[in-house]
Amino acid sequence: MELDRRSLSPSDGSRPLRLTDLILPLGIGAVLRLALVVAFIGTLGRGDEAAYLRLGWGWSEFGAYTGMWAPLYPKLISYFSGLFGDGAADALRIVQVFMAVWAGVWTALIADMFGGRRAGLIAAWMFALYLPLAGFAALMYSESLFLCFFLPSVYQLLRYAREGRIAAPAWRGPLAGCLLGLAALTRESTLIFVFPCMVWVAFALRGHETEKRVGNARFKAWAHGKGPLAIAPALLFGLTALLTVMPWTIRNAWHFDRFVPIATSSQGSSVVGWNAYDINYDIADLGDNVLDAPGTLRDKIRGPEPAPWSPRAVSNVADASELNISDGLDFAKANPGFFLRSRIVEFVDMMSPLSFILRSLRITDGIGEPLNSALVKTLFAVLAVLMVPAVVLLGLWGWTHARDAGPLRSLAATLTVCTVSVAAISGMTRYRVPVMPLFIVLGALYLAGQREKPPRHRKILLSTLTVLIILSWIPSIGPIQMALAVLWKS
Amino acid sequence: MEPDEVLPVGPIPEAVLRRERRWAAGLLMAIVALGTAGYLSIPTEEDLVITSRTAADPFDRVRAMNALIRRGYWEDRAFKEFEAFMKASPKELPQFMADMHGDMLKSDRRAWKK
Repeated sequence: MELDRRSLSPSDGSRPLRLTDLILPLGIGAVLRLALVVAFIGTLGRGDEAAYLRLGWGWSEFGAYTGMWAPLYPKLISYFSGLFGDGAADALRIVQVFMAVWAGVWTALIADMFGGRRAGLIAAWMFALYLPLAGFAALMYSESLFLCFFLPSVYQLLRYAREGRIAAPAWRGPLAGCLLGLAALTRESTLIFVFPCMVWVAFALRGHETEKRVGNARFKAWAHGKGPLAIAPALLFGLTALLTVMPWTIRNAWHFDRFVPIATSSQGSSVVGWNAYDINYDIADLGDNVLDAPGTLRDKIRGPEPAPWSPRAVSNVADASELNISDGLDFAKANPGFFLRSRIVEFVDMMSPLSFILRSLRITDGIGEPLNSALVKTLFAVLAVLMVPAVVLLGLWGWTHARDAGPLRSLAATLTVCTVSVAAISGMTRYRVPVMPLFIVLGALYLAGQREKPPRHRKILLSTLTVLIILSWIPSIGPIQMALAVLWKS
Repeated sequence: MEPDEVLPVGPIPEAVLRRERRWAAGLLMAIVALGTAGYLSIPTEEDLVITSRTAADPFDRVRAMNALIRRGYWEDRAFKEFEAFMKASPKELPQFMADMHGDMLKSDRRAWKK
């Protein structure tokens, strides 16, 4: 029977984590991010960054949203466009620094919940200094806003499981659902977390009431792991997520005259991912043309490319989405061997030690101090590249060895499986962002000494996953070398 | 500190179950009410055409036009009809079209009926 450590006392006897403890690590994290923002001030970004800005500007100017992505980030840009005009992007970059601090607080609180103050502090430092995440403060992508909703939602879910069904306040599950709904309105792919998280709630809150006696004191507590599935808490969580998303679903019905829960970005991903093209946005512009990512080993894994299919020219994006997904599936059925091989490459792309800040350092014009010299850019890039394997492997070890962290282990596994499954459509490093803070938390637990000897099955899983992930990095070595060479010559 | 004794007490208390049922009922009612109101408020294409021309708020006109485009309303019509509509529209719409749907203004666009 797993006991709630917090309902008894902190295991190591140390004082609980206070928010003031986080001022130093997260303050340094904020300074690091501000330095990146300063470097990117005045730059316009390319690709999706430019598209986000345009959509936000159009929304502010005409009152209509014309994009196919989830609406909250463009809406935020539209507010900033109304307030700051041409300076909207730079103003938003500065606000994204505060968003990162907010996300860092929740990362530390999750680590504190399972490992105490020491783990919380280590997690805060890791979050502050992890360059691939820090980079998003300076870039116009939805990730910063997304983490502001997603991490508190994960915290509420884990707290719900820790407190148990009886002691937890009634609003805990609905609040987690509401926050996950807001995260889904920021990144559409978050929708795939909702049902697995409902199942997780049903299992994680399984339990019954017990009475514990410590000395002369007697108190009622929650005993995890026994009793019927917690269906009602799972439904409350799911229904609130649904209710949060619903106003936008209604707007979509008004707009498309179709049922579109949040957005239609999956159709764009299917046009790229379920097709013959070898597009990887992390290494864009390194190949001979944009539809041809570099890397000999990548090419070998993919093998000969079949003829590509063209996206449909249909104005109703909801219809276009259905048609394109259907064409993508037909392509997969017609070319099963190529489809499976290209899924391996998508997985490789998602796991790559590259990150979007490196892409932006390479392709954005006009980057200023302190990142305008080739030496600083290359050093930054080398550090960022090394940090990805360090955090992933440390997180994996933390996951395997973490003591007294059952709910965290199972939720992290659930969210990681969902995140990696996105590579079945299209893989890039930006898509792994939801789970990286959880890897940081698990790594912090390991470093804080919150570990136990893992059972045999977990050791086997650790060995298998470690080998698989290290193998997945090998095809990225060539593109990483090319990206670093470009930065060195810049 | 480990407990000296852990005694099973019993199933989930009725008060907790009642609280969960109350929340679930409230959420379900909100979903049904919002869904019904939303479904009933969906305009037809004819409504949108009228709104895009006559609504007092320019944002409403633009939103209605955007919805017509997204629904594929213009796909069933010839470019000439679209051009005539644009000429007869308030000034916000041509500006909106030029800035956000510039592709639609090209007569050789793939989706236009010839």
